[in-house]
Amino acid sequence: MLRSTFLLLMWLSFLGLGAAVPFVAGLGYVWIDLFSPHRVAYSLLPGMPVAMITALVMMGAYVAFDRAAPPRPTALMVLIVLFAIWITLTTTWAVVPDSAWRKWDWAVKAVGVAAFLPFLFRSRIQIDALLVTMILSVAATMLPYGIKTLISGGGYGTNLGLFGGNYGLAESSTLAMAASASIPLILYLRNHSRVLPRGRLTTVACYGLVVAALLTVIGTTARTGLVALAVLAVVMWWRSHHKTVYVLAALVLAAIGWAVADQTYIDRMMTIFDYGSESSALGRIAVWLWTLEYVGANPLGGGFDVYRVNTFSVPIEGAPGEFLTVQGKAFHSIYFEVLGEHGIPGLALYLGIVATMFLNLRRVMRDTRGERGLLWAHELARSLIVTLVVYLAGGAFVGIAFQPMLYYFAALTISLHQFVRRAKAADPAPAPAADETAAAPAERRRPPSIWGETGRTPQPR
Amino acid sequence: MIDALAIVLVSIALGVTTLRAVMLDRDTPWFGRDPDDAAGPRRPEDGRRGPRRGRKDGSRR
Repeated sequence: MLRSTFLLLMWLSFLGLGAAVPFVAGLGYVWIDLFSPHRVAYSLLPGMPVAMITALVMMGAYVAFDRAAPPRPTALMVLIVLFAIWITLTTTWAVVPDSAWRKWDWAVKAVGVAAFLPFLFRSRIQIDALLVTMILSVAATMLPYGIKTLISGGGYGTNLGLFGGNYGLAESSTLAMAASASIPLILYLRNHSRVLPRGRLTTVACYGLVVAALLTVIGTTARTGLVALAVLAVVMWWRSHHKTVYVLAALVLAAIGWAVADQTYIDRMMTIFDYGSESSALGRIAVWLWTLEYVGANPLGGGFDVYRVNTFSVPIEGAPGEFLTVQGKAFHSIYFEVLGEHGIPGLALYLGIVATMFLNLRRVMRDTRGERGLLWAHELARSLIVTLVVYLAGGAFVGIAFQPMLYYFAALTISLHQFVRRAKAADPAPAPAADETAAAPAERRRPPSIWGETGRTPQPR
Repeated sequence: MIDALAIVLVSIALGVTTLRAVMLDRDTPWFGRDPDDAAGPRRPEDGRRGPRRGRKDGSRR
């Protein structure tokens, strides 16, 4: 009861403050979406439409108080809206209508909110607050998961999170992906956040969260997590200025991990290379082949959860005459999930969103290069690119195409892109680094960058 | 116990950071404070805060 009351008060605080300060209502929505207080609480919240009420407050407060300087429509925003419309259309001809409309109900919100959030998050502090809230909402699950992994060792199918079921961060592969993808953003926040108070406590908390994220990935025993971590390690090495030291540190960490890891964990990870006879991996490959065949016959897709109709048998490698029969096997890949459910146009829109995110972030990096006042934007764009690469690589093996994290990254990308566009319009020429009027006391007191480079320009509204 | 501790810790962090964001954000209508002003008040010529001491051309009222 105490937990439920505490979370209810948290929610009411978001609503109360959010009614006057719209971006706080947006933070509340993100908190509900990622942390799921209505599932973590035992009573009071579970019966209430918390997300809907928060969304209404968020939109109402925006319309009432916050319509100044809305963002310009961008290609990314248009693609997101088109994608939301297209996934609604494909649901009308869904092969499994009941299941499809159930998934549409939450998926379309995840997609649609990404197009709305940039209206709420426009200034540096607001963008910063959005990122901090995202990370803390995931941290609420990562932290206990990491600690319990340290105590018990974790294990496949063992849910050490805050709530059960197969929803959101309670699903082990989704959690492993979220944990891996959050690491670059935590490191960014440690160096550049203004919303996080500066000091040793913040540094310790950020590094503690990185450790919790790593332990969470290990604890879930999800192979997707290991793939995502490997990609993260390679990308960070590629970006690192101290490549030899990085390799040595990674080897030491890997050796420690190998020494302390449970044998069942090692055995499960080794099945990554044994996809020909391991039933889970074999089933994935089979469902991907089925998806290609299905889309060949139905190029507009079969609607949400169309995988439920699949049934096939595949020969097991090394076991002549033996077949693996699979029925209703989920897609286990964001790309095949979108392709099977929403056809070729859906995949084109999805990949278009991702490609535009990369292009916008690259543009932000190019526009802010060498400007100390916009160092934070440069670094955030860089960290988001790393996060995206990790997410897209890991997502190749888990069906999280409509989990909200990616769409929040898209919203962050739009907000950041618009902020930098306004900054450049306000003052296209970089001011001298010695100018002491504005931005950079924070950057001066902190290490300049986790990746490099400095500069400054005045900050726009 | 671990769950409860994590929920409380993260909630406190979330509460502190949200309030701090509201305090710092320049778009906040009432007590908003531009973080760039942390070292001192905004310059009058920036126009949004601080007393206006003269006309734009520099002459006194």
